[in-house]
Amino acid sequence: FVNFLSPINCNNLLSSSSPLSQQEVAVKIKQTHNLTVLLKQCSEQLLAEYVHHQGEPFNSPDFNPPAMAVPGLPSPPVPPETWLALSDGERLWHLAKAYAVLPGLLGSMWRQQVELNPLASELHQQLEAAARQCRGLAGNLGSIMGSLGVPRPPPPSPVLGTAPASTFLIKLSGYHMCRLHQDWATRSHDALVLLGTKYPL
Amino acid sequence: FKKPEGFYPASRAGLSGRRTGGQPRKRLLLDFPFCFFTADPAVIAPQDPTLMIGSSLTATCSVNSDLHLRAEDLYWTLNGRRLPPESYKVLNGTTLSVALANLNGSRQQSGDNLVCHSRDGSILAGSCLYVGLPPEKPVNITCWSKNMKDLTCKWAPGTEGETYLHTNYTLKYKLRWYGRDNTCQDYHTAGQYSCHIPKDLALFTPYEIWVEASNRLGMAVSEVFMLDILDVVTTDPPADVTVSRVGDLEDQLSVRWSSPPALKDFLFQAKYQIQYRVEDSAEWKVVDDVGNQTSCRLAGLRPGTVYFVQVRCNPFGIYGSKKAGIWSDWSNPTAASTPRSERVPGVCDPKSGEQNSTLRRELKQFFGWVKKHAYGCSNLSIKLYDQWRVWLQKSHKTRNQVGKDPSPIPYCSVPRGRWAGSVELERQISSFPPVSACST
Repeated sequence: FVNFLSPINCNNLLSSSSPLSQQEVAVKIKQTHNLTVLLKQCSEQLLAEYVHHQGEPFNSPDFNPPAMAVPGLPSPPVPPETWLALSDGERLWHLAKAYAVLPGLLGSMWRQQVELNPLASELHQQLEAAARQCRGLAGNLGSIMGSLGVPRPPPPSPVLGTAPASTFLIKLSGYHMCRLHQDWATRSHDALVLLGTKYPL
Repeated sequence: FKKPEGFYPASRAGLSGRRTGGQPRKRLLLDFPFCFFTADPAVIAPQDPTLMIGSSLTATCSVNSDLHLRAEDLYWTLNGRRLPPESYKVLNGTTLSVALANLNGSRQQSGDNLVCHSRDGSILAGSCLYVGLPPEKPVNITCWSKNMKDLTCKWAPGTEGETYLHTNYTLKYKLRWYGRDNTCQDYHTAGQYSCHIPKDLALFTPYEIWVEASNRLGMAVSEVFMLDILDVVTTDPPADVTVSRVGDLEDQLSVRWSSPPALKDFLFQAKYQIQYRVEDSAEWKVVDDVGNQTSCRLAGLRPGTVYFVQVRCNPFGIYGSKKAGIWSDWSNPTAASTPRSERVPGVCDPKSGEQNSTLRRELKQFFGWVKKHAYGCSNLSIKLYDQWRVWLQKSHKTRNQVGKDPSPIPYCSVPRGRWAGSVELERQISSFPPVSACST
């Protein structure tokens, strides 16, 4: 996925976007960059709001939870430094893959928190907003990738596995979800900044 | 395996890279390059217990033998605070128990976090405790029906203080002598403890209404409240409220209105109430004995004063109901001013220049107000007659144009009542020959 200047790639026949002009692509990239700025900010706020409602030790600054297996959780493939060294196309590919899955996971989290913290309306709203923003970003990424001729990842396979049985594990998986959401938001922001330098307005 | 650096701050004991025995986990995602436990590092029992305030609990933490941790190496925290070692007991090589006594109510609705740690502080397992009180009977059920179409009910929780557990309230209702229980669906319409029944209500037959409160510790049901929809009817405020002068009488204003439109044909016995205040006061005077008429004369008012007036309606006696209805909201305030007879009609002596400048200042203030409130008036122009030769024009379009012919102020969508004052103004000025301006 190197030739960014080619028109619609055969891999993208299912894409709904038509080839955009150079200027249109640059505009789209800038818009998407703005979205990632928003996502970064909101994901920070979401984590803070989330841990507040779960209680100590979740909201202590040195909270050190064990890693856990959350079905479907799209963890970043490489450490942050290596992320910056990938090509634009590779980054877009990984982002598209992650953001295909994140909205659904945030939605599940919303449902869990509605039951677990029924009065935390601010948290519920932020979770809904996060899912919405991720869906928006997924759409934008698809449009950019279509215009640049970057192949898209296959659609995510259906996630097996049930929600955690105990409340503590639900709190924990939600925490990991928030951290992951934040991590991906940072990575998407970095990716869009780098892409924007190649497609200035 | 590849460890994801800088990703999860994984605890040492929580991520040792060993696989426990059993089937290899099916790889659902291609991007999970690192290994993790298929079983938890430790298990706490009980999980998610629900307890009364003041009760005791003994919990156990059993570490996975693969971790090679001993029971003596573990410790407990509750909501982040370390529990005293005196309350611990080693049950066997890998199991440590803790005894909690006299538990306080849960600090957050999602439950208190009881956590088992290894000696270096990392978290091995957790369990959420729900400590609280069962709900008490909800009390003080009050209901009202808007125009006999729906029913909204409010209640208060029985407990003075908190139950510490999330308590669910369900409002139920049924026709008194037959029919099945119905459940209200639309909550929080009039505050936290309220519910709205939008339709399918019968009129000439009593209802039984009650509220069920339930939480993890139990359930409580309020007393059954009996009501007839027709006894709790409220309606919209009266429509078309107008306030006008009574000829030249300085101390009176006449208020007229029509009965609220939704119940127009039913209000044979309705009661009305009027309240009024002077423009710059917050104190309302209430006229209570208005009865059933749709007009009333206010007397004993101050001359030359702007008044704000509101009317509301109580639809009692609807369909022969014996009980008082429920007062509607007040209508939007309507304004009017009483006349002032200081001016002798037709004659107006030009006073000293000082009075004119007071007048100009007052008028300037007034015009500022009009401009602010004249929504949608793109062509509004206000003319101020100073001396008959010279006049100042304020308008959105032109400013400081001197010497044009005066034309009437175009009225546009300005609330009717609030124009009362300025109508006065224009009438006064234009009714005098353009010789002098008089203070109003």
